Amino acid sequence: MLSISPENIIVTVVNLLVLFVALRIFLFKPVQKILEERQKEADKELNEAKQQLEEAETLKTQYEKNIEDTEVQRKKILEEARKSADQEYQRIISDAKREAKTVKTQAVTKAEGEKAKIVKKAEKEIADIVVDAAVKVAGAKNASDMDSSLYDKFLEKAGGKS
Amino acid sequence: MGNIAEELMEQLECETVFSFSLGGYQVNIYESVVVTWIVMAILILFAIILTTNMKVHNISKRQALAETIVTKLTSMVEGMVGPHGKSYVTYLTTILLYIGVSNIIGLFGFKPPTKDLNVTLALALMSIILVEAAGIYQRGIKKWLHKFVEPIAVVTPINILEIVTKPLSLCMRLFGNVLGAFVIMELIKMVVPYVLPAVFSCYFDLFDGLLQAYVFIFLTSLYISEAVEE
Repeated sequence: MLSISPENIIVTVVNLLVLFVALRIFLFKPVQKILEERQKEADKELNEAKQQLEEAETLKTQYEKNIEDTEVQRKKILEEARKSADQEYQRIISDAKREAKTVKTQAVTKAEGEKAKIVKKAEKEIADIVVDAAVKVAGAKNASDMDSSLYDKFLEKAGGKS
Repeated sequence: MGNIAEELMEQLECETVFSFSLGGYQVNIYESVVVTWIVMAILILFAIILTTNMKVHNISKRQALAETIVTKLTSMVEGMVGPHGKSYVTYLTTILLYIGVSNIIGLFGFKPPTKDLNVTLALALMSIILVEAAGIYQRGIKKWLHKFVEPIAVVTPINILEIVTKPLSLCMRLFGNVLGAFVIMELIKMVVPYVLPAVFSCYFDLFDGLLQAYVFIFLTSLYISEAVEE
């Protein structure tokens, strides 16, 4: 029990070293290997997930930018359309005005021509009347009577004309 | 009474199982060494059974048990030995398993190897060699030597003495505990042969056995972490 035997100590030391090596080979190494593999796998998956998240984030910003761009584009197009529509409107309006003016001028010219024609015709008619009246007066008996009646007739005719 | 003492002594005696001569020197192999082989066989067999056909996914219950045992024990030892002593965890865990199984193998009718002073001496010797080797490896021989005059030069003899007292205390604590537990169990068995020994056996053979394994590893880890700390 209390006797110390060096050979048994040495044998025990050898035993323990053998046990250490054996357990290292059969227990610790395999389990650690499996755990490491699992860890590696988990790390890999985590990395992949992170990467995917990053990609998604990038895509999201891209889409947001696209949407913003589209909005700007839309506004621009709308603005341009409005501007061109405005121009068209202005053009149409001015065209219409110009045309109206032309029409009016033409109408005025035509009316004036007509007026001049009518005046001429009237003048001619008055002249005829005057000549007529003169002829009639010449045919009348009393000069003074004739004068006044001629005057009255003239006035009457002229008043009816005007 | 003399009868009891004789019987006890016989129980305590470590028998020579076989002997052979090696170069004219008679080598007596004790029972403890043979039981150590049995313990080794049990441990290695268990390890092989538990770790065959291991997979990364869809693990079997066997593998789950192996993983649990290894991770729990190594993390426990790692916690004790500290961050600098990671390379010694496997050895310490092996010794923990060995002492643990050795201490409870008495339940199966074998004489615990740890009841033999030679085994505990061997364990303690390996521990102190490991501690000092770790110190030299981690700090270099100069710093390792310098540690003997720390904190002041006066304590140098005590520090040198520690090289002897540390393993001696380790060895004797384990040996004494197992021996004491064994003696008390034998006495209880003589006084009350039924029921009561089973109750006490739970404490002395199972609890105390595992506790002593833990204490041995705890102290060795403490010495190692002390030796390797910066």
